[in-house]
Amino acid sequence: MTTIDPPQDAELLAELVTLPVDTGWDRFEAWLVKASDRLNPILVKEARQALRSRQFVITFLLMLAAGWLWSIVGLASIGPSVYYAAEGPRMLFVYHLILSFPLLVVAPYSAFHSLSSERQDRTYELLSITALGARQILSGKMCAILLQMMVYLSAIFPCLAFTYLLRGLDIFTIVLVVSYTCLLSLALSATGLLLGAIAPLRQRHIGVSVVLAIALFAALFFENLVIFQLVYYGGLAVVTSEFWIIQWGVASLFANYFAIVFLAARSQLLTVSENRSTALRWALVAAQLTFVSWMAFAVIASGEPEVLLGMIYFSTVFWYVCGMFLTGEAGNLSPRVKRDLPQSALGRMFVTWFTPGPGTGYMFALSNMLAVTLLAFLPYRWIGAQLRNTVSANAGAGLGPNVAFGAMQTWLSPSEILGPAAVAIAYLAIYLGIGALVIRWLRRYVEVKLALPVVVNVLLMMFGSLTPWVIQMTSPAIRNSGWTMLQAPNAVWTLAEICFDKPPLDMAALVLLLWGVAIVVWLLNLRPLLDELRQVRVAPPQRVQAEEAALAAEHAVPEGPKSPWDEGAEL
Amino acid sequence: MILHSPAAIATVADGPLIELAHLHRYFGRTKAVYDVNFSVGRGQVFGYIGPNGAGKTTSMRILATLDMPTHGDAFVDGFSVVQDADRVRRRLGFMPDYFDTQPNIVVGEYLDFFARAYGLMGPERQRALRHVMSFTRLDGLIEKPIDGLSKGMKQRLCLGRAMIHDPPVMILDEPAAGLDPRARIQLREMIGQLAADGKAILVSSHILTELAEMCDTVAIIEQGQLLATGTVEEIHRARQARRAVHLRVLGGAEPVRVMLAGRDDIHELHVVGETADFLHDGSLESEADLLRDFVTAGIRVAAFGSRAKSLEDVFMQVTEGLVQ
Repeated sequence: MTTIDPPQDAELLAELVTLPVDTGWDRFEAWLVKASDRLNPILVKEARQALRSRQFVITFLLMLAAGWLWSIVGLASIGPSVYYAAEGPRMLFVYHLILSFPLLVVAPYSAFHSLSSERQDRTYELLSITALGARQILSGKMCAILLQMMVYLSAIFPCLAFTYLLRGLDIFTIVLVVSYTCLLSLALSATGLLLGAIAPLRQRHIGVSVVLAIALFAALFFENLVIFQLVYYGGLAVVTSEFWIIQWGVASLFANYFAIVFLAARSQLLTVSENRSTALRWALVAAQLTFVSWMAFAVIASGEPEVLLGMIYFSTVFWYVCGMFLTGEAGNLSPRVKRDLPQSALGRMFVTWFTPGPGTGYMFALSNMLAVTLLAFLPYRWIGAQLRNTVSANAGAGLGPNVAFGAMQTWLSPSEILGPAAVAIAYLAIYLGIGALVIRWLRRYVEVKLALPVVVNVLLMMFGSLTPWVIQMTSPAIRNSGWTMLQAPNAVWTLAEICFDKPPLDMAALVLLLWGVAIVVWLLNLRPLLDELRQVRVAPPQRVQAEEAALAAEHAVPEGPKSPWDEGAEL
Repeated sequence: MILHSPAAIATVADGPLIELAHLHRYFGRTKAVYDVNFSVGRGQVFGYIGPNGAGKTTSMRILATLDMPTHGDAFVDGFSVVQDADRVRRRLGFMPDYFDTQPNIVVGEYLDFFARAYGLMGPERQRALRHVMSFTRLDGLIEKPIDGLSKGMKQRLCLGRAMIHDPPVMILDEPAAGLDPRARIQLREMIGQLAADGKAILVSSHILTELAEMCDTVAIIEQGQLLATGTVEEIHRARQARRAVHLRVLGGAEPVRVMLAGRDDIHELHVVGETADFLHDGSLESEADLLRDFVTAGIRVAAFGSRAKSLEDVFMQVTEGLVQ
């Protein structure tokens, strides 16, 4: 064992331990020092750096000045009508405008720059070889951004509090405006960190910086539009259940988005021998479950089954995008990942799909899409049964045709749900499957990184969609025929046709054709999948086992009486 | 997995602390590192010599868990850098050939951050900070911004950062580059102290005389391949290197030429007046025999000296035909 133990250290330690703690302030300071040990080191460092940075000082002072200036100008323009006119919304909106720039542009861009510049300047390397894990590094940076947000907020907080005294505003509106802005800032900052994690090269860094800056200004613009509506025309009805349902919806959307983006950034920072995928896959499933739950609620609450179609289409796009990345993962698991592979039959049956690999990724995306389709039928069946009960009850009471019966007439038939779902799943299986095969082939010649699977899949989708379209448009005989069977590979047109122009086509033939191709593609992907499934758990190396055993022994609780009735217990 | 503080890190009592086993690293078709094997034990200073682009930094980066080998593996205290990077990192102090360019941070905060990042807490962290500051002679610079430090100060700070968690293994990539003579001597002393504390130290440098003075063992790498490993003397012997002998004979050295003529173990004999210089294949024992033969033959030897080849000589000899 090696320790830093020069002889004088005992004296130093004694000196530290016996630091004079006289006053209450000293005790508080000592407590603060002790508490800071528990803080994330990145937070401590970044807070120190940020508070000294010119950018932070300038932004803070500008905010402060803008807040004061608007307070004076705003109040002067309102004049004596401040006592009776509803000028609160106007004052709040401008204060929000001042707050939203640092929160929605400066803070997220700082998050991006903080990570990407560290990666470029290679200071991240020195950070990555410390005892800090990727999660701690990211959460430290997020906490530092949060701290910056708090400081910015504190600059404008007196102004926000002042608006409460004005007419035309309630406390809920003010809290909601600030909460939405902070949540959006956190979500954008997490996105900034993700982009910072995937843009280590200078050329890509510049490109991503520009795109991010544009996106942040767009977010700033649209958020201000929403807040404008909320402040002026919101008429918040906090007593209604809809209000709280919407807040829950927003909160769950934020939580899922944040989790996915955070875990995606984390996986980019992990070394290739570590498991980059499992946590992210769980987050994706959680997001899907949340989404399905909200959609089911929307169908039951609104009685509009078209919501289910929207859910299926959205899920198709979601799993197609996720599938691009999942099928781009490396097929051979590192011994490190193999140490944690499921062993039991049940575990191998259900948890295997969460282990990294292109084959499991392909199956994971498909099975989730299948699950969405099955789950779509639950609210469909439930609400259908409700409607039938209402109709028969009314008929029994001799009330004749009624509203529910009318609703029954417009209710989608099972085939109108099943058909689009079947087509969507087939497209997913075909395009992701072919993409996975192409990526597997390319892996023999090039190193597959994050961008390649995206490029391959986008090119495939463009090829599959544009080729039949170009053929049809250049053929005078069928140019004006609308959708034809020639467009079967064209996922975009076909799904749009099913959605907006039903029933336009021979659905049975289309489903048969697409499912035939999908099964062939699925079978072609079966072999690599089986190779992945054959991988089994390996024991950790002896050195790791020895260290684990030594540490376990060190942390073991000494045997002793566990209750007064045990031998040796003092009564 | 149970987490532990750095102070609780235990190393294996026997066996090397650093081990490279058939390490390969390719960048496209370029073989940056090709089948490199060596090990470094406790308290050993191991010099890694090679020209630019030889593969030194690549193999050091792999050891520091910053890069992945294409084939083979490297071990730190028995843990694979590929599979157990987290355990390796707790045992490793890495000083790269570049410097951290953090803005708006002073020396004390910089070291404090890394101490926290390695999990040091409370008095333990304060103790480590004081020890490192004192060891690297940075005591007076605690409030100085790091972007205002001189090259030598930055190197010392870099060393301090690498040793803040008291790792048993240290990897120093070109630590003496750009330092003035005084700073080099100080650095050499520090490395010597660290080795005396039982750390395994892998150090690379272009300044071969520096390495010769501080290293127990050296490895010569060129074009990704390890050409020789061992002490300078061992490599010298293994290469059947010649020792340069200088002789001064009273009354003229011509008898020396007559006596040595036709011997296979003597090369490049030059006789000028009373002096004779030649290269001799053989050990120190055979040199002693040669001196005895001169004296027995009545040659009045006034001075006899020989020197082993320097690290530069060995390096040039080993990389003969490879180094441009």
